Amino acid sequence: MTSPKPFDASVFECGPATDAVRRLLSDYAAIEWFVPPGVDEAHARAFMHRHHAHGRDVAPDLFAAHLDIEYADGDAQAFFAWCERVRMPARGWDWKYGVLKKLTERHSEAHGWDMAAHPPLTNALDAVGRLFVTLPGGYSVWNVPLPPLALPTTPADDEARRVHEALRFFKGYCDIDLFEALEWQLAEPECPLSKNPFVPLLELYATAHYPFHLSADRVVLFRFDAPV
Amino acid sequence: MHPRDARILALARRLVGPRPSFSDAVGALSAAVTQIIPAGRVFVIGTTLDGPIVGSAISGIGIAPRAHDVAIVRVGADGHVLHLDAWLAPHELTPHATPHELAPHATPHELATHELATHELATHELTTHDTPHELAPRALRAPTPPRDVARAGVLAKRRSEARDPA
Repeated sequence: MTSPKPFDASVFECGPATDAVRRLLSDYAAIEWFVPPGVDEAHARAFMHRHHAHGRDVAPDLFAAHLDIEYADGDAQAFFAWCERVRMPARGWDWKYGVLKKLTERHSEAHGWDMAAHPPLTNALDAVGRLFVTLPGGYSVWNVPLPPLALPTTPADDEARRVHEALRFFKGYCDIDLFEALEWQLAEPECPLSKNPFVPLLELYATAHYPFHLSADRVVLFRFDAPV
Repeated sequence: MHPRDARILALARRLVGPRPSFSDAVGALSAAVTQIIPAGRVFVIGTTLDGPIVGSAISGIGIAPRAHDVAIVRVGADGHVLHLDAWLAPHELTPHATPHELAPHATPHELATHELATHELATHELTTHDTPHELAPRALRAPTPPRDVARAGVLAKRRSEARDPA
């Protein structure tokens, strides 16, 4: 599943982080979503471990000392079931908000970066090339018009509709991981992409392995056995 | 609508009151998001002719400016925009705010369905786990006159078409 529209990352200007930001955006926009994996699980495992290790380097209290990686294969219905599982997590654990948001928040604070401190007032309808816009009233919001998914079929019934919603749910969180990666580079422009803890996560998505973090030390990589 | 989105919208409405400017609504939405989600953010998730849609990158639920108020919308995974509600619940509308003022470009048929859609969502006050698709059958069970029942059927069909374009 690819986007129906081309995405031009070259319009984004972000000062010293421009090259890294453009690279992140263009690589992410080229990902083909919800297809069977194109690489073996060793590659995917390596990306997952690299993401975890880089995160642990920065925030050892947020990332477990050891990470168990498991695999699950299936169709869109199975994927939907995994999405439902992480939507209703065990008490005290959130598969995304528990660790990754804190990681970015700490990093940005440590580097004194604040989105609201940077962008001037912007007409949001004419904001091409701006990663964020500031609306009248001073409220700043992210503004990366990622192209929508080209959903392959029209959901004919409730079941198909729920599957589409699950795809959107998962992809939305992946988009947020992209924003985390972008914010990391904006806060620390000199950081090589190879040291950005979110980059291996985006690379993992490109291999078509879809992670579901069940706890701080356990993740399941889902693989589609056929394109959605 | 996911319960978390419903909680965020309800809190944002309480924070800013019934007739905010779009900017104030964005501010209230941002404040509500950060209260409910640690380090939560809002995003530009689409645009309409009147301005940006600001909301959740996960669910696609957001707010959009309109001529006289702020609309609550859902941006589908395919980019399609579905109008869910007005910022104001119907019982908060003044006698001077007609459906036409709320949707000045709407056709009479769209106004009729908008009225019903707004009524249905207000009945549930955006605090249930229901999706709009789930709301329509419930509206059919409500003690409404036959004319409204027929309109509800049309609405359910229109919603299905709007949410699931070919």
